[in-house]
Amino acid sequence: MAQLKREEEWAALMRAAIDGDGAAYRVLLESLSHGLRAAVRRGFAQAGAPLNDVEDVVQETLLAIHLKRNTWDASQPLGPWVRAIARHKLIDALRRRGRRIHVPIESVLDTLAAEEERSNLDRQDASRLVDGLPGRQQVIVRAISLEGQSIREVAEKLQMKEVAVRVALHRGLKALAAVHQKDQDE
Amino acid sequence: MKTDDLIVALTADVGTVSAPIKRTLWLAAGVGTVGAAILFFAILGPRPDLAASLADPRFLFKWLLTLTLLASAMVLVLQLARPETVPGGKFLALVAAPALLAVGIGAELISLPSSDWVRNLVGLNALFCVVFIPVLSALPLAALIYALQQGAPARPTLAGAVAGLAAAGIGATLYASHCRDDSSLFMGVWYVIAVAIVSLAGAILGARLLRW
Repeated sequence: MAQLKREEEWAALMRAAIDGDGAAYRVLLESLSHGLRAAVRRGFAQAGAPLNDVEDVVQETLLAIHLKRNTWDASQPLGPWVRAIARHKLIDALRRRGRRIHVPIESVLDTLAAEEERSNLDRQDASRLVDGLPGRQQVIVRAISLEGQSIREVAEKLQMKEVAVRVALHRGLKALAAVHQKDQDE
Repeated sequence: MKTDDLIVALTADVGTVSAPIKRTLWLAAGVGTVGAAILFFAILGPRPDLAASLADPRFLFKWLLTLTLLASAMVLVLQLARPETVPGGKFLALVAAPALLAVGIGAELISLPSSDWVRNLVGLNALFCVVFIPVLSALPLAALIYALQQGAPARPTLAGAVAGLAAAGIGATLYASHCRDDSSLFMGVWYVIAVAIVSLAGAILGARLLRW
């Protein structure tokens, strides 16, 4: 029952987010990140991969959820779609680390909704991600994420138009997702 | 970057959601069809007796076949563009066009004397068909692959291959109105080869361009 209620909440939050509600989006992403972290950690543990990369995969999955949210069918629950993306990213990550996948990934992700206590791991830095961005994108992504500035503040500081900051932010996020893809090709 | 910081950045980017993938794919199919049709009229054009052919069931059967291929492949592409696993049963839709073709070939073998089989199979312009169906399918395939890049296909190679089938459905429908070979025996060999080429191209493009 709790699972079902959560599914409805998630879907409602995502619908609001797609309509532009940033506050709803933030609540959703925070809620998802807890479950993802627990699931990815279990997946890594079962595959015998070192746990210090877990946060990378969580972030990669959140980026994919963000950039691919146009593939969610708003008439469907959100959970299965999130699990599918998490599964894709987890398998990718384990392959990249040279792990054979014979863990039952599905069962790891079944319990996506299970909250896990926040541990030190989710405070851990995965900063090598942002370091890969080209100049201006890196500045803008850092200012907005690390320094918590608004788009307007960044625009004023850099003497750019707000729309240009928005575009650079979006490109930066896409580039972040691509950094992983590049890893994979190497 | 901490995950909480990433979430802040993602939240700031809340306004940039692209159009639903379904709409993007239909748009791509539409644009690809228009492009292929312009190319078709520029380099080939319909056969001179097209108006009369519209009353010939053998001619209409060609369109039935190619449009069935297009529809069944398109339905699957819409699902393969998403991250969720597509249940195996859904792939049964792809059997529709081959099944129809088998019926056509059966009817042909019954109605034609066996001395005419080879002549119908070889047809008038086999090589032309094998070349021009892929040529006419190229634009629709490019458009569909581009659209799929906006998606999140769980199986990129498969998504590309099925996009190739849909694109070939568009190319073959156009080509069929130029081609004067109306025999199912002809289609069973030459159209099938042409469709396979486009689907293979789709698979190769998918494997390279659709990973995410």
